Amino acid sequence: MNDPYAILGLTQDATDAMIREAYLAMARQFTPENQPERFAAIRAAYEAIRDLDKRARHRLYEKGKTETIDAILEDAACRTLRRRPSLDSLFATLRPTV
Amino acid sequence: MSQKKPATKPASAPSRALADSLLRAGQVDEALRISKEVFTKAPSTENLEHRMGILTRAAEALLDANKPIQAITQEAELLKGSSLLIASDAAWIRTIAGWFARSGRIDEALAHVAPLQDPKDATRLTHLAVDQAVRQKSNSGVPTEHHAGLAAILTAIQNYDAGNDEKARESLQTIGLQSPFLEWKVLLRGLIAYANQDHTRAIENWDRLEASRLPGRLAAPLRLGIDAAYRSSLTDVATEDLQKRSERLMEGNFLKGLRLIQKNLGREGSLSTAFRDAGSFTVTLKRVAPDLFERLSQCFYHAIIHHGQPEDLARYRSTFGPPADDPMFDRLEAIVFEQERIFEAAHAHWQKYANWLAAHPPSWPREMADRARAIVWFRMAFNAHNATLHSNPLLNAFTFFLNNRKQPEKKELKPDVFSCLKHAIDLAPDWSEPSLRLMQSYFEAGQFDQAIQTAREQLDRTPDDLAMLKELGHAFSKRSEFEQAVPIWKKAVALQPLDQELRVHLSYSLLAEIRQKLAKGNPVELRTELAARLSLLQDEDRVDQHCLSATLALKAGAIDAATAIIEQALATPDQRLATAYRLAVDATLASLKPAMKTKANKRLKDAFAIEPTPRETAETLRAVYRFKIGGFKYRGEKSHEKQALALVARCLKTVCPPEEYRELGFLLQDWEYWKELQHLSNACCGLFPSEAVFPYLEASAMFNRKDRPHRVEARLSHARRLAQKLEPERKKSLMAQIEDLEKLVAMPFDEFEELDDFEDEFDEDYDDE
Repeated sequence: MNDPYAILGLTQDATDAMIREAYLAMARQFTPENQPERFAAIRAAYEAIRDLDKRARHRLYEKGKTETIDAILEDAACRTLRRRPSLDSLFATLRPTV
Repeated sequence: MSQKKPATKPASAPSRALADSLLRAGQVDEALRISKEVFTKAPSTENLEHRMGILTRAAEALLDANKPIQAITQEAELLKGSSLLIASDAAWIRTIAGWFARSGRIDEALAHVAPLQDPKDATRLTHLAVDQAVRQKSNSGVPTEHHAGLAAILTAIQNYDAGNDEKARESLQTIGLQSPFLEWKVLLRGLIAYANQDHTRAIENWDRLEASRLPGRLAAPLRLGIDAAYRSSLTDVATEDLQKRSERLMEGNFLKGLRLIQKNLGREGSLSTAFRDAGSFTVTLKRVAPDLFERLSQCFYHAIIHHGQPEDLARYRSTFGPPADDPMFDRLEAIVFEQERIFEAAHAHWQKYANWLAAHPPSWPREMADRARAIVWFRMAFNAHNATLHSNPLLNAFTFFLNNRKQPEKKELKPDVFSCLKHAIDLAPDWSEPSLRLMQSYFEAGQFDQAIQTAREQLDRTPDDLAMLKELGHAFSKRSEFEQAVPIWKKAVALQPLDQELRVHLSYSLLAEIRQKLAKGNPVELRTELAARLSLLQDEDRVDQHCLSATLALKAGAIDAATAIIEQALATPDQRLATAYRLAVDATLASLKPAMKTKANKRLKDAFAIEPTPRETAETLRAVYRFKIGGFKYRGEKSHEKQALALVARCLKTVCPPEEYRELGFLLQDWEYWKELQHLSNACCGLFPSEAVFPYLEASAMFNRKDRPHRVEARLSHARRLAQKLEPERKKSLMAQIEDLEKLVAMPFDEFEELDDFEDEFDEDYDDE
């Protein structure tokens, strides 16, 4: 996943303060000592959108640039295999209703 | 004899097949009517079985949809006791009772099966009732004693769906072994294990489920994926059915479609196949996984930038719709034209894109849209700067040689660099980079006043802008306006006290400012001022300060003080020659008495007469260089520089360790004394044949003196070979320098030319694309 907003669990309209808050919360949860790779991704995501200038640049030039079909496929496969099927979705697989 | 063909049966004639298809189409009432007609017209066993089948399927469908089944139960009642029934009447009675149970009418269901006198029926009907209650999330029709169990199960489901597994487990604790909800408890425990990737435990739980009950049916498509034993126990028909359910659970079978795209999207060449593959399933993908759809659209967007064709824009639009951030594809086309170095077209598209942003598209918050416009205008400034007459690099190279190695003329784009940068500044006044570039552009164009004004305006808006302070300090220093430069460097140092580079600039400017006043200033006041500045001077400027102080003392008539200072300066290691040089120049600049000047010149002449060491040479050249960049003009300046440069060849006569020559070599490289550097490094290659740095320095000098590339490359190869034997730290550093130079040697001339301009750090995004 390359979308910094998704990594930090934010929406596109997040403000500087919201971004910082989300970054600090995640950095506390995934420390560089315990989860260095995850922390690096969180840090990179924060750096990519930390202020208005970076957010505008990201949206203009970076958004989706590093996206690959391989990554999408991997996410789709993971979602299929690892998802938590809701009871409603399980009911929906039964014979078509009228 | 010919036989008469049977008449074709009208499509609308009542038939079992028609009833089946109507039921499949959801027309339950019509399907029931047709099956009734078929049975009434021909009351056979087959038609009765079919009628019962239709009733059963219709009842199932209505129950699944939580709709009333009264019409069906009435019809079903009529079939009870028929002599045509193959199976016992009891089976049909149990079926009808099951419908009652599932529709929340447990008492009616039990009354139905009472004549059969089978105790298992009550249990079975209770199970059907509770299963339906869980499915409908309602306790209507569930016996009161089971309400608590239902509530526990529904709470557990809610927690499981929300990912609160612990709370879900807690809720399930209340379900005992005799509870009709036990199957649901087992299903949920299996689901929790499945969601946590514990497939063994999931299988253990689901293995205990009854296949005929709802929990068992719900777990089946998941078991298919993880339980090999279960899979092998199924018939082909059951496997196929479960496979379909499993795919529905996967939110559509889009993995297959993505794999198809994967095959074609990465390939260079036409994107038409990839678009065709995408077109076949993107509608489903958008519905079931909108985030993946969005990401896929971005993949295609950037694939067009990298290797797309104009017709791909229409394909993109029809497959994904117009991109939200670039509906007219102006940004895409601008980037593509930049890649092709067709700056005029890129400029036009960026302008359109900026105009689109100016119209405030709903998805762009106003503040971000304005900043984005500023960034676009800044990028346009870059394009305007780099637009050349011939945008094609090959054509550029051809013209270059055709024009006897003259660079092609620049073609000015409209809006020009200045206008673009001003637009960017207007849109984002707090962003200093456009102001910085505008200031540099004015400075390069010789419009010094505008450059200073731009810098001052930006510093009014952002007073602590260190980059702008540095730029302004450099601008004043380059123009030898040290009185203006000093307060700027002072402020910069105050902002970044640990920045050595800033301190060096301040120290130099402080001395240069006093030196500028040597001729007309009051020497006593100047000495006092110099003393006051001591704390701000760098250690390497100490000798320079002594020389200045001595000259001021001489001018003020303090001969003894001056003599003491001069002796101290001359005694400083490696500074003998540089001190003599500075004193001679300062004597001229200060317009000292002729006798004093003569003495200073004689001291310099004597110093020059002794063969210098490389370090003395370096210090002397440093002094020459600093007078030169400070703009200090005096009679005999050229002659001094010539003599100082001649020291490079002379220092080769002294026997010194290679480090000293290496230091001198790098200084010559920094100050771009290429001829002397080539001479020194060439000689040192002979003196120290195993030293890798000298062939590198020689290559550097040759390259900058426009020697033939193959000759430069040969020296670099030699340096590379020798560098392999160096200790890791030095090897890494030198190899990086060798590689940088190799890149420059291999670079086409027009790109090389741009390196001198502000492309270097102007916009990293450009190179990234």
